[in-house]
Amino acid sequence: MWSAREALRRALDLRDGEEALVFRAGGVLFGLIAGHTLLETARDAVFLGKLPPSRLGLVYALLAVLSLGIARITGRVMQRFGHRNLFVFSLMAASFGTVFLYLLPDSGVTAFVLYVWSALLGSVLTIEFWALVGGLLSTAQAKRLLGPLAAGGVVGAVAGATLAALLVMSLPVSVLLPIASAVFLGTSIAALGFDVDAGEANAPPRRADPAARDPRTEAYLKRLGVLVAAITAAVLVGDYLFKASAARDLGPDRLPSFLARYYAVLNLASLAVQLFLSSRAVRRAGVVNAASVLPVALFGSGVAVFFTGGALSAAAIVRGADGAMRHSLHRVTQELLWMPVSEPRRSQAKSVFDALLGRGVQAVASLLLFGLATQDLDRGPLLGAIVAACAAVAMAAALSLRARYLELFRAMLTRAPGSAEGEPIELDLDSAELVMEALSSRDEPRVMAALDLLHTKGRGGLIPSLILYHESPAVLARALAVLPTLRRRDWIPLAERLLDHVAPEVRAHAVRALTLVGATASIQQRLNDVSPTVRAQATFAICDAEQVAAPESDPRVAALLAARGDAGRSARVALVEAIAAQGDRRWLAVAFSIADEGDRELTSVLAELARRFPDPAWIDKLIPRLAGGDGRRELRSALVAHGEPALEAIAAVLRDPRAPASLRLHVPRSLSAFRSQRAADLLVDVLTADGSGAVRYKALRALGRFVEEDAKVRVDAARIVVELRRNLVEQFRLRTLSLPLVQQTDLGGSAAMVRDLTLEYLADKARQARERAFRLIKLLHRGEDVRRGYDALVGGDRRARAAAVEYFDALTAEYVRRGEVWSDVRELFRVLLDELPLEDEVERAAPFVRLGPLDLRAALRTLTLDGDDAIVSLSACLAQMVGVSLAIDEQVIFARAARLVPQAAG
Amino acid sequence: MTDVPRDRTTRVEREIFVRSFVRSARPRASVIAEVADLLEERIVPAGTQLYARGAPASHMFWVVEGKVELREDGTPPFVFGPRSTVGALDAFQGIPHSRDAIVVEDAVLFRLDVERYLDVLEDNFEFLKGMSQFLFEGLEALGVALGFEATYGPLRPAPNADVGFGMQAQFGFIEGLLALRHDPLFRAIGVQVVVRLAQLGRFVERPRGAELWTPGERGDALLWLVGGQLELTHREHPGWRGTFGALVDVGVEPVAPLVTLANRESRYRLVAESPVVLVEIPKESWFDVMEDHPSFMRGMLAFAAANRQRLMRLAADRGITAAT
Repeated sequence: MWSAREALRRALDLRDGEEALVFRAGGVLFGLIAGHTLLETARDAVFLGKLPPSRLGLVYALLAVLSLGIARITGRVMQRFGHRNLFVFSLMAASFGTVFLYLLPDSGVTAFVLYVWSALLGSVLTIEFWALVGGLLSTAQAKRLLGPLAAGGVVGAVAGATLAALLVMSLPVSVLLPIASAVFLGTSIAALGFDVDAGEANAPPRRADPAARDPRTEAYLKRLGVLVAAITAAVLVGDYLFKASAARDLGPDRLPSFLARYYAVLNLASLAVQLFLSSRAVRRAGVVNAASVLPVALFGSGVAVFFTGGALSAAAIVRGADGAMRHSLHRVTQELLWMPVSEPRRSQAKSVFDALLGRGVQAVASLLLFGLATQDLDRGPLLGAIVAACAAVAMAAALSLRARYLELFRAMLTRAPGSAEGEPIELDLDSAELVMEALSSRDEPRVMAALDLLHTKGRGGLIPSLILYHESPAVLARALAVLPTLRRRDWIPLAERLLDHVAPEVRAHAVRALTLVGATASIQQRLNDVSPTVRAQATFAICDAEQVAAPESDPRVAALLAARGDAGRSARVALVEAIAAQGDRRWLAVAFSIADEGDRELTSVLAELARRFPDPAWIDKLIPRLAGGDGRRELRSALVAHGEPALEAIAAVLRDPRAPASLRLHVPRSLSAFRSQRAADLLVDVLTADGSGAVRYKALRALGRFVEEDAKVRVDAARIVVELRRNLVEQFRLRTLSLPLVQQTDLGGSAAMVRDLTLEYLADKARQARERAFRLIKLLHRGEDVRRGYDALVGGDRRARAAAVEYFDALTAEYVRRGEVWSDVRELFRVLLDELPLEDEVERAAPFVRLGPLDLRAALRTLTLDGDDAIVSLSACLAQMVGVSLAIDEQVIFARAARLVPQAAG
Repeated sequence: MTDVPRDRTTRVEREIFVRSFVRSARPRASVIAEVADLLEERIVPAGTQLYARGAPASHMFWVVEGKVELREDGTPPFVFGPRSTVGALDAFQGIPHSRDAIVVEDAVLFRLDVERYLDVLEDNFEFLKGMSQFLFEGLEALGVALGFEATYGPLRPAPNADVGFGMQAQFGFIEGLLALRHDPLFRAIGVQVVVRLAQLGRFVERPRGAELWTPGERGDALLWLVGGQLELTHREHPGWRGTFGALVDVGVEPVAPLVTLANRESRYRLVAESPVVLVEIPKESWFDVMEDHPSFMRGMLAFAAANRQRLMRLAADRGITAAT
């Protein structure tokens, strides 16, 4: 019993918690369609028994008018009471109304009313059912479940028709009415069981604000409307074509048996499509592509009818395509196409489409056919051409939906728009007043912030020179750094006063500021300052003023370079800072000499110097500094200033086996700083070929940022997709290898601890491989906000996740047409996006992972052969603990484990 | 919360505030603008409850003017004045608010969505680095006010250097990994990150009497004591002293991470009281790994937040004004 249930779950691809919903929904649809089929059978017999067929035209016209009114009423009721309650109420009304009609006297009027009643129920109940189910399922669930669920309807039609046929053999046809009524009543009771908390099924939709309609949604709806209208017209004309051809070719004697056999086959075909094809087609090809299947089939068969002169066999294919797919694959795709439209717009537009648009197009098409028939033009070739033309319009509409479909899911993932993030401000008069107020504050951080703001906005002219009376040394130092950059001299006397300030940093900044504007007369006295920093600044200022040709040979400078200890270091730091701020090429030899000392604190200032005065000698001095310390950003700017030679020198680091890992790690970001096509190509090389996972990851991040910021740079998509496939397979390989460990639940003590640690490590690595895959996707779709989609995918919001799943599914749908690797990526993504239990996930990914069935022993053996030392150590340790023997030299494993342990300092 | 959102602050005011608030992190102008965009101003009268204990911690507040108290029954309140942050500690730890937040003096606040703020940090690593160092500087200062034992105690076990930790044994890596996972700093981050950090580290052996930190130098490596005993003293507070590894057991003990992660010249002296074995991870490597692993960034912020909360509680108990 268990296995049969499990087999059914697997066949229908049901996940935990979905079973009850699918069986209930399938059962309700079965009841609805069975009841309606019983009603329809009685209706046709009663109507054609009492009234001439010509009255059908009147019926269609009346239906179109009534559908409009019904749509408005049901819309309001739904707003107030929710989908489920409306559906239950409608089923009960169907039940009671049908009994009421049964009790009416047998007359032509009753027959007319019965026909209209039945047609209205057929339209209203199905719309309400699909609206209800649509609110209970996420898009991903809908893709899997709508097919099997809709099969309930097909089976219901078969059951209803069979029951009707059996009953009318011995009972009057009117007896079908109370039976249909009972079926509707039973179905309404079953529908009460829908869990209203599971989705938005019974949540009254928010009232739509017409003014607030999203133009993207409206554009999408227009195209969807064209698709619905074109398909409706094609199907109606196709139905007429088939019946006319059959009547013409077969005659009244052979027609009934032909139709009976044909419809039986169609019902079976429809059921087969529903059960085995629709879900798979939708999930494999994507919703929009699957929505094109019926239009393509109708187009092909319509063309065949045209060229065969209206052959019955060709017309049978037109009707067959419709019969096999319209209520299965096409119905499912039509429902799915509504998923990206948010409530309440979805409910509102859907009722208009289903009730009005469908009926309206049918009425127009009926009039057209009537007109053609009166002119004796309703011949096969013309009708075939009309079917093909309508189908072509539907195909075009379906194709045009793809981009909009993706756009709507993208919009669902996007945050509410705010102000332009990170947009710098411009200072106007009011703002400037505020900044002046901040400058007058006694609060040091506030004053500093205002100084920085004015400086970075190019409004330093607003800084009053009186700020040099501020009590804070930090404010004075900052002001002295900013004021000399302005074309002003009013601050100079105040700065000269600060040459005697108690704080050395203020004196040093005063010297530097005065040097910058050539006011060096007062600086001479600072050559003997107690602070080495001030002395160095003064030395530079005097040597510079004297235009010393070779500063490195000047005895005052030489003394600073030769000084020992902290004082010597401080002096050299100040000297190089002064050179960076005010020096010229004459000072390069001094700067090289200081750079060779390797003081990491000087990295930023040396980089600034190198940027101002590029020289090939800088390249080898700067690159090793990328390995550690602050100032990488400045180093990269300096290297960029040295152009192509610096780029190639950085790339060469990765080819140098002696290059330390700490330096190699920073190569990718440094390459990306060059912002050239050559840099991008080098990054792709690193990404696809470097031996270190950490370096490859850095290359991936660097490339991602590069591509995002530079629209012109190209990446080789063929190489990226191979890397993408590799990461996806790696993700599933790690998950596959973890499965036997997960299933090993009888471990205790330290073995359980090591097992858990191993699983955690494998999960970490799998997560990382998955994240890399999404970063690679971003490289292939640079205009897309993949990051937001990824965040939604791994986040906790169920609806955001569902939108993200559909977004990525639509994004990768076209991969199936781009070759094997792309197709594999698409397939792997589908497994990734499906929320499968680990066992099922492993099974689906097996053709790509190619590890075969694994027990614990096999998994541990495979893990001990991994390229990752940590995995090898963990799995070997676990194997030892659980008594799994490994045919691997233990010493090799221990040697690899030892590589993970922090190394002893030399 | 009955506070009043207002729209009177100009972009310039926000930028000035952000610049003054995060100045130590030396952010680029674009980062300042990005953070300024996250701010929603609130003018809140005294007596207003900003949030209640148990509420989800999705937002934090920067105090521009006024005072806010964080209250919990039976414990002294934490008081926050201008240029302080309220609500971030819970948010960084991913837990609901642990106290009621009440405005006690008419306040002007900036409200920030924590997730969006963390996004900005994640996208601007230099800024994150600066901010986290600023956070640890505050913690270190609080630690000085509270004493060694309050900051790092109670005395925790560390192994005897002679016994060794066994990390160099056959599967020592796994023992080490399990031991490191007990360190609160590593609990919130993935194993892979810990492995990577371990690979970037090195064993250091020092004889008795060796000086590991000298006042005036900037600590550039994080240390974990594997064996032996260390004494930590403060240059400006002679009474401030404590011992790492005073007891003998198994495990590794982080050595004053709050000091190392604060980016300023050390005022401490760290001396080996016995032969010691340490694992040393360069601070730069630490940040390199963090740059690649957002979970690590969040884990460290959570660690800092948990420590700050603990120390603030102690400070409040002792009547020390800790939250400024």
